Amino acid sequence: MPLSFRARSRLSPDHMKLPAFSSLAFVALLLPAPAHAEIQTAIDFNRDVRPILSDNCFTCHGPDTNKRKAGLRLDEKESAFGKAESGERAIVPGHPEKSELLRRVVTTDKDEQMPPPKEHKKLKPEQVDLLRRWIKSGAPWEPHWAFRPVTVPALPATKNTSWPRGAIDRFILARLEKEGLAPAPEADRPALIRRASLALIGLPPTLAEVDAFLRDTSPEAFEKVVDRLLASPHFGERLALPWLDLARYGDTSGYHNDSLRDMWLWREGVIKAFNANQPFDQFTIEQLAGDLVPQATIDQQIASGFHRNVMTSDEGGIIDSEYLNLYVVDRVSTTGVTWLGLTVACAQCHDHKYDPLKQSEFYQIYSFFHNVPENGKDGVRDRNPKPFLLVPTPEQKVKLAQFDTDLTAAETTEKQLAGQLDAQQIEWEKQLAASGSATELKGPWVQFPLDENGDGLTDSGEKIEGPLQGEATFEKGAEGQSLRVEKKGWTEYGERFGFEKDQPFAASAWLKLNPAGGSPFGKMATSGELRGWDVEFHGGKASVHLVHKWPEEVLHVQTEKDLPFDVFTHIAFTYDGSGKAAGITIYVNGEPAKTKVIKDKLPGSIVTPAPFSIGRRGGGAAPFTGSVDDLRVFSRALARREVAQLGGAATLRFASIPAAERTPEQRQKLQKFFRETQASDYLAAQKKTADLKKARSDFERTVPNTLVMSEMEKPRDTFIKVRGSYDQNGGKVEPGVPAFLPALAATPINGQRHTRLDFAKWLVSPEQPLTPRVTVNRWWKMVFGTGLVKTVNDFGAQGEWPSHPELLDWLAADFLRDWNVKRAIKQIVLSATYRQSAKIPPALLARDTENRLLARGPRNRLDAELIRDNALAIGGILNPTLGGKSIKPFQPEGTWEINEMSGYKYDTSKGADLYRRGLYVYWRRSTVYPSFVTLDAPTREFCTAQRARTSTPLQSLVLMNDPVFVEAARAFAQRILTEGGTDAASRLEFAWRVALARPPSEPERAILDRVLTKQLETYQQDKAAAKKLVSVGDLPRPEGIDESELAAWTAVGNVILNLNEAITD
Amino acid sequence: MDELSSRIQSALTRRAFLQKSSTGLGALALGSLLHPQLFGAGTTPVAGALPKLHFAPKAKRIIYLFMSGAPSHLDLFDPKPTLTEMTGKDLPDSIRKGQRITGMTSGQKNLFCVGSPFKFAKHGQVGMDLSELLPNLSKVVDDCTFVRSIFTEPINHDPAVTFFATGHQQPGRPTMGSWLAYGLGSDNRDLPSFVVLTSGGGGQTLQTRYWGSGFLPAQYGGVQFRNAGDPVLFVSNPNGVSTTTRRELIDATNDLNRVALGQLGDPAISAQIENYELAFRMQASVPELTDLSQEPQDVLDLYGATPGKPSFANNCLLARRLAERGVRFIQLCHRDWDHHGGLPKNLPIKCKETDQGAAALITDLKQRGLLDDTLVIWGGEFGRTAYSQGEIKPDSFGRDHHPRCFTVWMAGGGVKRGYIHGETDEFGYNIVRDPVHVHDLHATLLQLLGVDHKQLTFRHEGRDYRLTDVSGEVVKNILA
Repeated sequence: MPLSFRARSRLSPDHMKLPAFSSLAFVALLLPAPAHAEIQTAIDFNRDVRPILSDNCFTCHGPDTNKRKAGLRLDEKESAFGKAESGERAIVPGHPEKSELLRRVVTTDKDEQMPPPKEHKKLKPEQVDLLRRWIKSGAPWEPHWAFRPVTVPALPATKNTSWPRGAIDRFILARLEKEGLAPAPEADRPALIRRASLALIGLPPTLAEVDAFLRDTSPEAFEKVVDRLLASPHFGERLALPWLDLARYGDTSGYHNDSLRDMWLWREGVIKAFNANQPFDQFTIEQLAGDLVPQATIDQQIASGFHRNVMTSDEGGIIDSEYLNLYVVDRVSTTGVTWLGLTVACAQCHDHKYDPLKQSEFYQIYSFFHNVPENGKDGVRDRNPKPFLLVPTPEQKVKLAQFDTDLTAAETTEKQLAGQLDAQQIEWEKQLAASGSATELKGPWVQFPLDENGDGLTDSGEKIEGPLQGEATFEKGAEGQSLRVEKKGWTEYGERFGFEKDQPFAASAWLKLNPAGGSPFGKMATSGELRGWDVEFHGGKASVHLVHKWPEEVLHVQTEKDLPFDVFTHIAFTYDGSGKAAGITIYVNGEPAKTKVIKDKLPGSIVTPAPFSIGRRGGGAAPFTGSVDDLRVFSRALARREVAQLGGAATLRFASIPAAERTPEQRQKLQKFFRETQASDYLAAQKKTADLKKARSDFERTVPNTLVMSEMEKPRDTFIKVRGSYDQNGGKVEPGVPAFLPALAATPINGQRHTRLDFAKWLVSPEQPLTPRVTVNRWWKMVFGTGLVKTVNDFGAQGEWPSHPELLDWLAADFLRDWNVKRAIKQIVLSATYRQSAKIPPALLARDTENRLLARGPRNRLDAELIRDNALAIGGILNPTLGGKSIKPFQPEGTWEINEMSGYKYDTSKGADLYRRGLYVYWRRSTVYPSFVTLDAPTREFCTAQRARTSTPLQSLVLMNDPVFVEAARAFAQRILTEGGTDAASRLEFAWRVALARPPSEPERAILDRVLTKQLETYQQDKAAAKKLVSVGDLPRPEGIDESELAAWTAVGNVILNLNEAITD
Repeated sequence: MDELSSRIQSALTRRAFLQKSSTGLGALALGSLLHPQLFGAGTTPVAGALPKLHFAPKAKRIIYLFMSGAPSHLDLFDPKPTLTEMTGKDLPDSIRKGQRITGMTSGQKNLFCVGSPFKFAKHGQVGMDLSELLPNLSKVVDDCTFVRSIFTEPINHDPAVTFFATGHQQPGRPTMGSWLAYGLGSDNRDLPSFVVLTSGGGGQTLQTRYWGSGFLPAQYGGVQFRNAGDPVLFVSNPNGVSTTTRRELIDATNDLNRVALGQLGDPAISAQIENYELAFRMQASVPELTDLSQEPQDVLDLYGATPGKPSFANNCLLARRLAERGVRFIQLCHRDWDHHGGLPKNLPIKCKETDQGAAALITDLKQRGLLDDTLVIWGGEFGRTAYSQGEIKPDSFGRDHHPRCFTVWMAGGGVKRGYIHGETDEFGYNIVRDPVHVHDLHATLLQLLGVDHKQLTFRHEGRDYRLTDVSGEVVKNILA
């Protein structure tokens, strides 16, 4: 016999002092016992027999074809009653003595014993006895209860006919009467309105709402409350909360870097849908396939993001197909839990061990979700991976349209200009030929050819003498000869090129470098502040310095990459006179080089009396090793095309070769040079297009954006993954649904395959029995704390038999009529069952610890987010804004430290955003908001149908000390002092009623009085402490309130917010 | 294919479903939880779900030094002269056998062998070859078992760390520490039984799931002791609330809760009353515990610890203090061992950060007689490749991820002292003797704590899950 509640009768309240880090809820969680408690009279196959067979026999004698032993399956009547391979019959109805199954479970022969000894799974005597009685009674067999069609059961008769308010109560009461129990009296009105408010909108009732309910003597008083709550916009938020757990909603991608994503539009859509009371069948269709609905609206497309909440990875080395497979598997598994209440994921690797789901069928469902145009490696870290949907505001739409118009125009221009390029090139070549010099540039400039001496030449033809000094030689250069120095040779030109920091200037030269580096030219003081400018090499990196006062008041820009040694490289820099490092550009071989800014501060002059030198800078510092050729200094900035001309000399020479005689390589190089550096109109047009594209893409990032499903044009083929391995394909499968459930609607016309939309419609087709059962059960759980089926995610053979199977079917059938969510929930909440008092008489606790029989009202600790919402509401600081982006309330410094690689900062929200509901708190899946984790919120890394409810000292620390809760207590104190009357008694009553809806009892009043008096005394004596306490949080300290008094009441508020009653519905 | 490589191959590619062990811990846990003596008050240890241990335990607790990012076995524990000789030459196909490699090197034209730039020498009676980067560890090798033949399945960090932590690559399963907290309970009611300490910045990120409770209730997850601010979140009273005031407020809270208990009779209220008392005790015990300045200077020097300056060394010392107080599983995570490039420069930095503290932990535990029942484990999530990622320069090269073999060392609590287990081929690429799968390591750890890995299970979604999934064999040869 399964464990009855009697087995737990030793649990008197005295024994419930639970160990550290353990909890009552945990006890409940571990109890595997079925819900029924009566002494067995009639045997029910599904309730009593199937669980024994499933748990002990199905792994070898169940649905899994590959593991099946002896050709016997005990999940199907035909096989169980027929002959096994041995010729024996496991079950011979009416004849326990002939039934091999019974013989094998009782034998002591180790070779024959079942389950085999190595399984450590011996049947209990009472289980054997039950099997024996069942077989003797003819072994009545039924299909698994949850897979049977939903039928409307007859309402049971009850002795007490005045208590039931409706069908629900008839079922509950009938069972209670059978158990010899009576329902509890109705809860008092404050408890009732508080319970309903927290259940339906997740917020406590206001005092005015409580008072209105207390005054209303009409028979419909409670119904009015419930109607008001169902109409509240917060209803949608309350229903969204468990939906987000199922959908594994997060604001980040989850795996590895846990990158940022935007999904809040989807969340908002869910809230809106529940508020609008969208029928659940339509809701289902849109969540799973909103994108495929004909003429899908924006809202429908947004809704389809349900399955894009799946975690994705951007880890560097991952194998695409491995992760793509993970995402699809997760979708199948989540769909299974959410709509079918089945652990379908088990069939990823093999046929399901307990339920008649084949591995091939798992992949048939898989194929519906396999066609999203996404990558295994999502490839982005700070925005949504494709496919996503932009949802611009009307203003943003206009702006986007403008961008598109501009872009089209710019692209047209660019295209036109591109068509003229060849003609322009011929023209350009002519001009080059005419100018005589390929590198002729407008002045003013000074050129140092460095072919035979150090002399320079200005653009106006003036000669500048620069006598060679030290050891300098000439060698073959880039243009004729070049000047070769090895730290020992230089030339000097006096005060020439004494540019000021607001003057643009530029220089260009061919340089052959050496690891010894040094400064090839410059004008800089050699001591003191090192004022002046130069080019200098450290290893292969080129630096440009403009110095006012070394080492701090300097512009210093350096190339990122090393330049090659021992070959001529063209180096140029140009400075725009801005006084900023950004005004310096370094070019290598005519192309702008990647540089980094090392110093960027130039408050004063760079003019120095030190001479301009080649081979070193100024008067002798940083001697250069290498060769310098064709140095030019300009007292103006250079354009890119000019630098290109200077650095492109080798290419430009091809222009002087007649076009017909050029080699293909020469032609190509010349064309490239022209198009990339000289075709100024075309280049400008090209830049304009690029700029517009970038501006549009930057703007797009400000446009609300959400992940959506979409379908590849050609669907991917789906294969069974052998043993679940992503890289081992078995047979190909077509989209389909498990054979043990009703079939899909007929194949679409033209023999096309079934789509995700077909699948979604199938889930909510009237013949499919699981969706309505699973869904109403989940709402029952939301309201009562435990489902009629406790295993809300498993309605299969290993799931728990319903506490009230007929009631579950009645609710499911009723829901199927119209899929009306609000009506379904209203009906539950209006029941006499729900209205019962939650008081637990000791005898009842012993009899029904978990309250499965419902001889009393529900009493459950609130979910993490609601505990915070409730505290903010009591403090009067809750910001009720609906929907929108996630917010970041205070969290302790360093919480994101463990994944700071990603560089995301937790930028705490400001002002009113701090006080929005927990539902909107930014959900980083690798480091969930700390107080929520402590209060049992899931990480949302995967679908969660049921949160654990634990009770731990760490939770006490959160409620006592988390600044969020302390600030709420402070706000509460302020409310008490301003709204709660003028004397302590009325204030205490006010406080208690705001928090708990009821007035305090005498003993409670006495305790509150005591703590208030003591805290007043403490904080009047220690005003500094009072000031500190009332400064916790972000709210401004109120003026005109005595801080000691406020602190004392804050302490009292802290006590109230910590009460068990304050965190329980 | 010989038997050995076939075993590894099959472990790497399969999703094996050996006959699942089904001990029905659900019922078993129920029995223990309902046992009245477990609900005693005061400082009695907190019992776990297992009513009794399956074996006599060799260790009571584990300190797990997790080196996140995966340290190179080839440059620390497993010297390969052949690799040095072959530097710059392709890794032979006969060694690689076409096995999969990550997306980071799969596009590389060549897979050039690269030898370790670090000197190795034999140490201790065991004659363990250690790199010059581990001078402190080299002094305690005779207290350690070195397993040179660990292998794992995933090839990238996130799944590999998740696998090491939970026995499964995808999130959702309980971690080692949470299994132990659940199964064995706690020896100290004032502290969590599973504590996590982190150090080292940069490199691969950590996720709370690496110490999460998975499908076990949240209370079994690791509690992170933080380096700055409150060591345990919200353990400090708010500004302006003294310990005396807090005591008064807790008294009031609990008095009010007792009134409610009398009214409603809900045992959840008694549990909460008890938790406020425990929370108050934690408010005293946690700051005392984490105050390293109480340690004498010679102990600080042994570890290289500096109170107030977060480091791996400080965490090692803190781990000892946690071990002394009966914490069951202490997990240290030290980051940034992922040397895809710049290994010659960066590996020494990581070793310098960790070598002294880890060796000091062994010495200190031994001095105090704690090493006998404390098991210290050191290791990363996989090894690193024999071939270089990117160009080999004299002072710079990298190694990619390598799941097929790496080294983990253990000390104390029931493992051999001065022992080397397993062997890799001359390239440090494949295992040639005594392979140890991650599940085997998990099975062994549980065995050392007195637990049959097949019998510590939890019923979830209709199935009895365990840390070792459906496999795992105890590595008998490393047991003392």
